Amino acid sequence: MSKGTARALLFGSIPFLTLVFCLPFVNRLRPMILGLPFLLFWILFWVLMTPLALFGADRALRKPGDSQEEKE
Amino acid sequence: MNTALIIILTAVFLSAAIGLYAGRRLEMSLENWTVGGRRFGILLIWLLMAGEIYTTFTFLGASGWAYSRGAPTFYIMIYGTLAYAVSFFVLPEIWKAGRRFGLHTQPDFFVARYGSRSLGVFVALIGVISIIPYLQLQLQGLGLIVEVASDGAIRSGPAIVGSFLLTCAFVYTSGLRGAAWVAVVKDVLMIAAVGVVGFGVPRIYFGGFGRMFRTLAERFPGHLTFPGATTNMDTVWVMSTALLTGLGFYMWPHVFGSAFSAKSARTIRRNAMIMPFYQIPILLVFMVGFTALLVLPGLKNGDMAFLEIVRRTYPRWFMGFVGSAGAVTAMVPAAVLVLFASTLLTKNVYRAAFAPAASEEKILRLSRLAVLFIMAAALLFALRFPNALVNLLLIGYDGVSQFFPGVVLGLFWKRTSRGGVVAGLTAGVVLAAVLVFSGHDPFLGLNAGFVALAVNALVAILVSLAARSRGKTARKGGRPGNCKANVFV
Repeated sequence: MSKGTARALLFGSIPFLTLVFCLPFVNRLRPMILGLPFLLFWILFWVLMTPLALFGADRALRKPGDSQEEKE
Repeated sequence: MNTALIIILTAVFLSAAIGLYAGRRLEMSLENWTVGGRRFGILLIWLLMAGEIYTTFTFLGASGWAYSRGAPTFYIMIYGTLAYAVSFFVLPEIWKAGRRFGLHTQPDFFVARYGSRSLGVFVALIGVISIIPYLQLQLQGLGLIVEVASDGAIRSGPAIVGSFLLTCAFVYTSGLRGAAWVAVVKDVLMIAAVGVVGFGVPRIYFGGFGRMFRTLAERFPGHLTFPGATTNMDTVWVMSTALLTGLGFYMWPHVFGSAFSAKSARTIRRNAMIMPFYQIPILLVFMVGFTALLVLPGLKNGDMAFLEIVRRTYPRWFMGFVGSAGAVTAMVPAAVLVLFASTLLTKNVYRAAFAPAASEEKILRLSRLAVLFIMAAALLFALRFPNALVNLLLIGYDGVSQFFPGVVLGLFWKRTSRGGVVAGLTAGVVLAAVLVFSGHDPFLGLNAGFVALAVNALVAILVSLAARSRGKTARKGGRPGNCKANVFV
């Protein structure tokens, strides 16, 4: 696995970490932020950060020339 | 004739006309019909994929769950986002394989990767069996929306039959391109409807989201955190369900197949990057469900919450507008579902098992006929065995998600063997069916489909490892037995 691919996968894992594995720690009503219950705010926030994470992944993949290698 | 009715009929016929028009100048081949000639740019791909994700379920199921179950409904916002992240990495590889081997469908992919026609037939059958409830769900949702929105002027039955005929017509003539163009109408209508209602309803009754949520937290404490109003959908259930459906989403044969229609791998990546913004309308749909719980508590069927509160709040013509958005929202995914189900049935079951010599033209002809057949089957189910909306979808998800190990291991792990994938897939599908139908879903708090998926992946890996070490001693120096194609590695 090339360094670019590893970095891309790291970026790609952000939604999984925040939206799945963090859920036990954010399952709470308060504090309410922007009028939203905390749990819903957390989810919305990371949903909206995901395009940014994928943008980072895209940059990481594109750096070494335009073709990325996907070795075992 | 009431205004609502006129608006609904206009929107539905207009959409069908656009769908018919889209394929007018195309010379129809299987390639043009199923994968749009692999020429879709970022805009059409985005509309098409959004069209597949935003179904009647978005309107009715998500608000219905917000109403009757509370926080567990948030999984819907999560799983879509996970699915886009998965698609960013997996879909471009699938697309490359599709381009190189001229693949049209998901079973084609399995045949090319694992060199087994019978595996292709197996995958195709699971696909068709999972698609039918999904299609049924669209038809039922459409019937419900149109009946309520037209104030009973069009009953659910005739609404389903009518839209079913129109959808068949534009799928028959224009194939995937027709569906993508109807998706344009659908997206405009749906976003407008959800935007107006989602911002409007909490504001009208409570002056805004903040006050609405504060009132909800007082009157229904616990509704806004897991497990909400349920007893068996706690955090672990949400985590496992979001993972299962997030990994499974692009394994739906119709979504998987749509990936082939992109004009480049880069188009798909860029699409994945912008898709998460499309989750915002779902948030608005939640708001509608939550407000409905405060304003109209005690509805018998939570799936009606969205429509009931719109009916109570807005003038009749607006109800017609929501009804038309709902109807077209059902028609687009129904079109893509039926298109791929019929291609699976003719190309990957009929030709693979009974008529290997059949030409592409003959398969295209048969696929177009099969459209009617599959729609009729879903129609029959929708009219005879209506079921709660979300449950149907979850059963389908349990089925198609089981393709995930076969696809992803097949793409990125050279050693994956045919035997491993067959064993894993069989174990996963059987286990999911046993758990769901014996009433063990959730199983130990986890989504049953997720348990099945984990077993499936484990079996696939173990059997592949075992097969590999045996294969090595049998034929030294050769390429790995089943790996026909090396785009996959």
